[in-house]
Amino acid sequence: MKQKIEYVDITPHRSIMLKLGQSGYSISEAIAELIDNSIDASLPDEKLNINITINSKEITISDNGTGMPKEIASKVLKLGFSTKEKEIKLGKFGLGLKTSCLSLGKTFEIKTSPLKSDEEYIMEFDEDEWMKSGDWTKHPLKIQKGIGKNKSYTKILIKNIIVKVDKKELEKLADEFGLRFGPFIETGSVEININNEICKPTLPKLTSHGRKPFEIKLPHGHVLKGWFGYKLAGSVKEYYGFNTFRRGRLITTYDKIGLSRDTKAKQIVGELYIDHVPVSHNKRQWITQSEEYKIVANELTKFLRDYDVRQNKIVTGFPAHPGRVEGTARVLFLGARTNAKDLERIKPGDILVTSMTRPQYLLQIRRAGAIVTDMGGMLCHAAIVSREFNIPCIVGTQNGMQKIKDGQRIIVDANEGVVYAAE
Amino acid sequence: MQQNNIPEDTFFLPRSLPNDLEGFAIFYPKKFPAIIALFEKLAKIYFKKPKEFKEFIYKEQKELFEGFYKIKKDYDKEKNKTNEFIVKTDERLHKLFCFKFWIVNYGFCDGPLHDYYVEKIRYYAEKIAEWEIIEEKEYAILDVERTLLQGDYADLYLQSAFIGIDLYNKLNSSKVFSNQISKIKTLISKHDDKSCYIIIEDMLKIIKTQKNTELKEIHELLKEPIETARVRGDNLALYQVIIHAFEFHEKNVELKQRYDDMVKHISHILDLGRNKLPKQECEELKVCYQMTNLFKEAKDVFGTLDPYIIPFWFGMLEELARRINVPKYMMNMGHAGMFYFLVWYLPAELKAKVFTPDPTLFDIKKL
Repeated sequence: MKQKIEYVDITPHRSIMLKLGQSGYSISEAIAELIDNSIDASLPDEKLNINITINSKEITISDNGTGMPKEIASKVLKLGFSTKEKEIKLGKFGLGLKTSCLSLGKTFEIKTSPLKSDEEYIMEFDEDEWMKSGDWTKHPLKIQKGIGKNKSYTKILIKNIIVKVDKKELEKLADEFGLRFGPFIETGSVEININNEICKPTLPKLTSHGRKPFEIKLPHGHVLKGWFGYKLAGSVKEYYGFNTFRRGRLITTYDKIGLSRDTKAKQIVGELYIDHVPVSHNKRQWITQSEEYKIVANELTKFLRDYDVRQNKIVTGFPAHPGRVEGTARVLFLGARTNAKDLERIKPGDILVTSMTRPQYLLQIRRAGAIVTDMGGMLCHAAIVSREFNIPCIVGTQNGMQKIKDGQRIIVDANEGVVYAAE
Repeated sequence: MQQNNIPEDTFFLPRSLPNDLEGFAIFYPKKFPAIIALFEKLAKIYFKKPKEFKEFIYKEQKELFEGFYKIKKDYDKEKNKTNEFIVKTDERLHKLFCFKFWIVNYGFCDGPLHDYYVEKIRYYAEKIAEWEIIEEKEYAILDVERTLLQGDYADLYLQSAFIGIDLYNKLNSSKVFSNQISKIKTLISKHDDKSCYIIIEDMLKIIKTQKNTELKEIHELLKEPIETARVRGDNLALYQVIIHAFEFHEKNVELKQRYDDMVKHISHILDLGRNKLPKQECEELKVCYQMTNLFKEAKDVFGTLDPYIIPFWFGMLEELARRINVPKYMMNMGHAGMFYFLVWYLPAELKAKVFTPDPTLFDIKKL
C-alpha cells in the first residue's frame, strides 16, 4: 500500500471569530476580562485608572496603562496571540479580548498608544464586514499620527450591543468588580469607574477574630498562601468560601475548596493565592481534575480541620431577618414603663435582647446591631420592624432574656436563627 | 381558595402562641369557654376573605374602644371602689380583652392561621423566585418570601420613620429652634441622650404654646408622642421621637425610597405568580399575601388601645395589690396580674369569682 500526502488548507473559517462571542460570557465576565487586560498593562508606580461607560448603544473601557506598541497592536485580533505566556500575568490563551468584545457587541474598535510614541494604532472589527470580506492575512491597522508622547492608553469601544444592560445589572457590576478587583482597589493601585461611579472594594465583615494569614508548604516546593476569617454579616448561606487568585487576579469567588459541603464552618471566608494550578481557558475556573488542584484541596482541608468549629450556642429561634452580627448584648424588657435610664444603656451596634419590641422604642431598635426576642413569629412586631429597617433579627427564642447575660459579647446569626457566645 | 385540603386544626383555637407572654391561651378558654367555638367559627368565615376580614378588624376595634370606655366610665363613677368592685372590673376587662382583642390580635395574627399563610408564602416563593446563578437561588427565594411577608402596609414603626422626615424638615428649617437643633445634632453625634433631653424639654415648652402656624404644625406631628407622654406622665416618648428624627434622618429618607420601591417589587412578584402559577394557586398566593398584610395592620389597629388601657388596668391592679399586701416583687405585673399574682391573696369568695367560668358570649350591652 502506498501512502500519499496532500497538503490542504486548514485556515480557520471566518465564522470562528463570531463563535467566540457565543462562549457564554456574562456581561460582568466579559468586562472583567478586559479589566484584567488593563491591569496587566498598568504602568509601574502609577495608579491605573479604568473608566467604563455603559449604555444601551455602546460600551467603552479605557485605561491609562502602558498602551500597545505597533507590533502588539497589529496582532491584537490574531487568535491565540498572547504577550503573557512567559510573564507572571493572568492571560495566556490569546482569546480573551476577542471573546469578551464579541460577547458584548457586534462591532468593536481598539485604540491604543504606547508611552513616548506619537502614534495611535486603531484596529476595528465588524461582524458583518468580516463575514462578507474578512481576510485573515490582511486586516487593516490604522495609524494616527500626532498623538502626545507623554501619555499612553488603550481604549476599547464596543458598538451594536447584543446584551441587555439595565439599572439592576449595572449595580451588580459595581458589586462584582468591587469583589473581583477588591485587592487592587483596596491598595489604591487601581481605580475603576463605571458610568462615573467609583467601584468600592467589597470586603467581607469578619468576627473579632479578624484575618488569620497562613502559609502551607506543598510538595514540589510550592507554597499556598492566603488568609481566612469567620464571616460576620451576610444574608446568603452559600456566600462563604475563598476568593481564589492566580497571579494576582481573581479566578473564583466563594470557592468551597478545602471546605466540605457539610462543614460546620460555613462562615469561613478568605483569600487563596494559587499560582501553580492550571486554569481553564476562560480563567473562570480551576482545572479541578489536575493533580496540582487535588493537592491544594487536600492540604487545605487538613489545615482547616482545626478551625472547623463554631462558637458555643446560647439560644435558637426563628430567623426573621438575615445577617450575622457580633456585639454586646443589652437585655432589656421594653414595656409600658421602661424608663430613660434603661434605654440609655443601648448604644449603637449593641444587640437588643428583649421580650418583644414596641413602636415607641423605635430609636433603640434602630440603634441596635441586631434584635433577639423571646416571643413572636414571622409576623410579630420585631420581625416586621427588622425587615423594614434591615436589622438582623431572631424571634421566638423563648428564653433569650434568661440565657443571654447583659453585657455579654454575642454573635447573632440571623441566617440560621442561632445566638452564639463570641468569646 | 379551597378549604378541602387544609388541616382541620388550622381553625382550632390555638393552645399556645409565640407572643402570648402572659399565657392567655391557657386561661381564656377556661374562663370564657364560648371563645373556643366562636374562634373556630370566625376563622372559617374569614379564612379566605381578606376584604371582609379587614372590615371585621375595624368593627372589633370599635367595640373594643366602646367597651373600654364603658368600663372606665363605670369605674371612674364609682365612689366606693371596694376589692370586690376591682375584681369585677378586672373580670369585665378580661372579657372585653379576650373577645375583642386577644381573639384577633393573638388568635388570628399569631396562631395556626398565621402559620398556614406564612408556610404557603414560603411554598410559593420557591415556585416563583427567579435567579441566574445557583448562588443566588437561596437569596432569590428569601427575597420573595420576605418581601411578601413584609407587605406594602406601612405599620406604626414605618409611619414613625416617615413622620420623622417631616419633623426633621420642620425643626431643621425653623428659626425659633435653630440654636437648639444645632446643639442636638452635636450631642447626637456624641451619643449624649441625656443632654438632648434637657434641650428638648425647653423646646417642648415652646411647641406646646402653638402660638403660630409653624408651632401648630410641629405640635400636630408630635400629637401621638404627646398623648403617650401625657398617659405615661413623662416626656420620654417625645425625647425619643425627636432624637430619632435627627439621628436617622438620612436613613429615613432612604427608607421612604425603599418603601416606594418595595411596593413596585411586590407588584412584580405578584406578576411572577400570575405568570408562573396556575390560576387557583395564584389566587391562593394573593389571599395569603393579603391576609399576612392584614395581620400586621390588625396589630397596629388593636395596639391603639394600649396607651389608654395599660395605665388604667395596671394602675387598678396595683391599687388592689397595695391593699392586700402582696409581696413587692409581684407588683410589676401585666394584664394577667389578677389570676397570676393577686388571686392568691384574695379572700375565698373573690378567689372563686376569679376562677369561675363565664360561659356567655360577649355582648357590649351586657358588659
